Amino acid sequence: MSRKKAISTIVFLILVALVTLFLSNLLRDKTSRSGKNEYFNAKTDFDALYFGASRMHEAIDPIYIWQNYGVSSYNLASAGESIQITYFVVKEALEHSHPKVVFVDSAIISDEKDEINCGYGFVHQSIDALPLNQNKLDAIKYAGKFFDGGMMAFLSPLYAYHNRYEGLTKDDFKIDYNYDKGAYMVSTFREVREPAEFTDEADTLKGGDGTVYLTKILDLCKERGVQCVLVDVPVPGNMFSLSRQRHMNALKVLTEGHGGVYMGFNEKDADIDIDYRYNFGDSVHLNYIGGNKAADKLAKYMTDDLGIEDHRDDPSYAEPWKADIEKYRAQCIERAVEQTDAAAYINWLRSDDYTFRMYVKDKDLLSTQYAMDYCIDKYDVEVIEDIDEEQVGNYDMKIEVRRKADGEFAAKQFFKYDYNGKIYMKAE
Amino acid sequence: MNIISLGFILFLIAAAVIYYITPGKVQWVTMLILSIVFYCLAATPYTILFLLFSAVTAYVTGLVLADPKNGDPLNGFNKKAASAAAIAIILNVGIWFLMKGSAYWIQLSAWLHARASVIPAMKAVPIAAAFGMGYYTCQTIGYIVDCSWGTTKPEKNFFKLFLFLSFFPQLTTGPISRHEALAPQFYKGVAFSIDNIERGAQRILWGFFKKLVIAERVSVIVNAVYGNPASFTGLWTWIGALLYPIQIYADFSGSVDVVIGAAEIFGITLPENFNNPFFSQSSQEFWQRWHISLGSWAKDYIMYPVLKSKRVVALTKSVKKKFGKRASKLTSLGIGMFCTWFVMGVWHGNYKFIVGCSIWYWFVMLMYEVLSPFLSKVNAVLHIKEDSFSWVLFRRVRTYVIYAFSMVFFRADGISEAIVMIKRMFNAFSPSVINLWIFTDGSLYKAGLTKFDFTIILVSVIVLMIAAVLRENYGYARNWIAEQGLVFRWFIWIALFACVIVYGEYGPGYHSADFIYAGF
Repeated sequence: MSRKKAISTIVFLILVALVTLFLSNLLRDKTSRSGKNEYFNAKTDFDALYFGASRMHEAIDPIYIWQNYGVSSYNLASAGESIQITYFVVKEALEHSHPKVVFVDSAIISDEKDEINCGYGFVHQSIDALPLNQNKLDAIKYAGKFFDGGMMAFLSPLYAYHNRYEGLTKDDFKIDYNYDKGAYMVSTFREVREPAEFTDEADTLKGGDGTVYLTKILDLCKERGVQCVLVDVPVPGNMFSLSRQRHMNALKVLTEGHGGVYMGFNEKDADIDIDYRYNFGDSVHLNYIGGNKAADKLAKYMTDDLGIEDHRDDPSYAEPWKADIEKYRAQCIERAVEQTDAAAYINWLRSDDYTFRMYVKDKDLLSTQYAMDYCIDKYDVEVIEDIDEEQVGNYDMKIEVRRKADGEFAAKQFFKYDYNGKIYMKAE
Repeated sequence: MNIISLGFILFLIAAAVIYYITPGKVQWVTMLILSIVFYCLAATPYTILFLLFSAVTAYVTGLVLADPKNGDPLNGFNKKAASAAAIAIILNVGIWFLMKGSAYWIQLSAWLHARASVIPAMKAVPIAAAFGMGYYTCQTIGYIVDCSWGTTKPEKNFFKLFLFLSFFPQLTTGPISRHEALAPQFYKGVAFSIDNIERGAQRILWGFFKKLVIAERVSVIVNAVYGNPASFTGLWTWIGALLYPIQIYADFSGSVDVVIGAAEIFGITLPENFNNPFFSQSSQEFWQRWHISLGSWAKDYIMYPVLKSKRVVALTKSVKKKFGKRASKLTSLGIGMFCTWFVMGVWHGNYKFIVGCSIWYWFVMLMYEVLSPFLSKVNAVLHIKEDSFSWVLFRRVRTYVIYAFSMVFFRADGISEAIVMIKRMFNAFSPSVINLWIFTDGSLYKAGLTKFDFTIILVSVIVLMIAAVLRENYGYARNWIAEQGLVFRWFIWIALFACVIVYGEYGPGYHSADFIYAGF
């Protein structure tokens, strides 16, 4: 083989690899790495990490914890993640940081054998961002047993996402970086039922895949000198049952037996003040307000029980956090347009940095939208009625957001009142 | 192991590395081991015993025929050698009939049992059939006959003969190779050549494109129509029937591209199985361009021996005396084609192919021969220019439609379902049924394929046609590509690669169907 031919072959193969990489990045589901990717690329150390499924992902906001307690933390949970997959994420995360504590969601811990309890897309969301190494291969090998395509189904994002070509949007062509420290905060409101029945009885665990992997996480943390806390994040009454309680009680026994701590926010005497009218975003997950209540409990455990220091006065922590929070706020402003209704819009921007002014055609309609009065009160929204067409145009409401510090304009959004749904919906 | 899989590609890479680090003289041993390993990975391992048995029968027969005491091809063989060859062929056909041809005797016995309960309804043999049995059985028979005709030398090394029958790429979907053409290539010793790898990879990529981008996409709509004909009336039946030839061509020729490409990586040239069949202007030409290796096998080992047999020669002579030369020619052709088509029909393993394809094509081709003088006169009267584009196009479309009709029998679940489908096709244009609006009201995009999918199919078929035109003029489209500048050349191959990985029908929730011709 001539030298020229060899070089040309190598260049061709490099081109093929680059095209594959480009297509792989273009077509992959952009939610599949949000948050985790930034963690694994960061060189920062964190005091605490949060793992598990959506209930943890959407409840615990590391930025809120930093701003109120000075604890540096990162949320590595993701939707639909079962504890088996969490194990591999924990294992990888501990290679990149040296936390004093890890909080693990108790949401998806099945006690059945050979059951993953996790959808195909959710596994991708959980493991796509893990660096390719033996741990990731182990995760892929485990997950591959449960899905068509085996290991191949997880080795290449192209294998899973190549047929997204019809659904590509301009966002797919952008290189995005998330400053939310891994959390996915929910700003909607949903009234849910309060749990009514409680029991102290516990199941006898059968040693299914979920409980085996929870034990692995507990043992791994013990081995690394990291406190592991299993958290049962608050759930609404519709997700509550005695059998669920018995299972959680059994997990509590298992956790404590392996040196872990159990924080059950759904126990009868749980020390958390959940308001079932305004603290949930949907019928499963806490919203930002409810999430902060859980975050307070976790933070207090870290500062009071574990003695984790407040780093807010330490420039080596404070400066990068400050820079990231500024970028995060800017990102929140950009993403505010994704909020579909007026209450969610205000709750999404929520920060103490902003003031809200609401122009409405009919003030009486405000109280018909669920949680609107609550939002107006909580965020001290200035409501102006009987404005002229110049302010709201053909719409029924305009929300104007300004910076509290200098009064500068930050964002605005128009809304139309939906008389059927009794809600101010975002106007396109 | 499906040849459209990452597993196969990895196997191929590993096999190529092992093959090329093996000294040339013993590369055939490496290839034999690789073929056995592939067989065990791709099929039920114990079924290799069937393949081994075929090889033993061919080997022993070859040795008997090679023994000068038993005669030679020029002067004829003694009874012992003739019997050995006949027994070997009967044994191979018998095993094939028992395993792959089980549908014939199972269905026949069930039919008889329904009419006379004393006749037992038979069940399939509870053993898996060997992988590629249809292909290697043809090669075994071809080898035995070739040895008796002297067109190939009997192989004295059993393992070399076993390699000829078990060569891993071609066991999947053919083509059916001849011993004298394939076997010597195993022993020549192939030095590593990037050109071999490049050409093989190009051919494999082209096969992947046909299978994953075209065949699997078209199959969605074909499966929908054939799967539930009752809910697809009017022009839907025509859409299903006319799309199926595209599916089966992209599927079968795509699989053969992968097989030929895989062999090319090892410096081995396999016979072509397709030569732009949809460019054919007659059914006769079509079958010279479609599944060429099976057609030529049937012609060489069935048609010619039948035509040369004493009884047929005597019959044609008698017809010639009584009815003239043309009648004699038609008689000879009718008998020869009937036997060929019958055997090809039987090879496909079901009655519906015999009825829908064999009898249909035998009838069409014979009628064409009978009517050709009359048709020529009609053309002359109508002043049809036979080399004009419009006439050539008409002939090509006619050939395509004839093939599409026969494929209704191949694709439908049974003969009665095929007849129902054809009835619906003929009924499709009646005023109460015709539904031309499906092309304009969006119904077309509700049968499993989106508008974008149809666009992909359309563009891909245009690409296939461009490749076919280039093949007609340059031997292979890739020969033309190789003559182009580096940037354009690389652009074509990278674009094709990108099309396959993006538009290919594979991945989770999607079950890549086995190749249509992988079951033979």
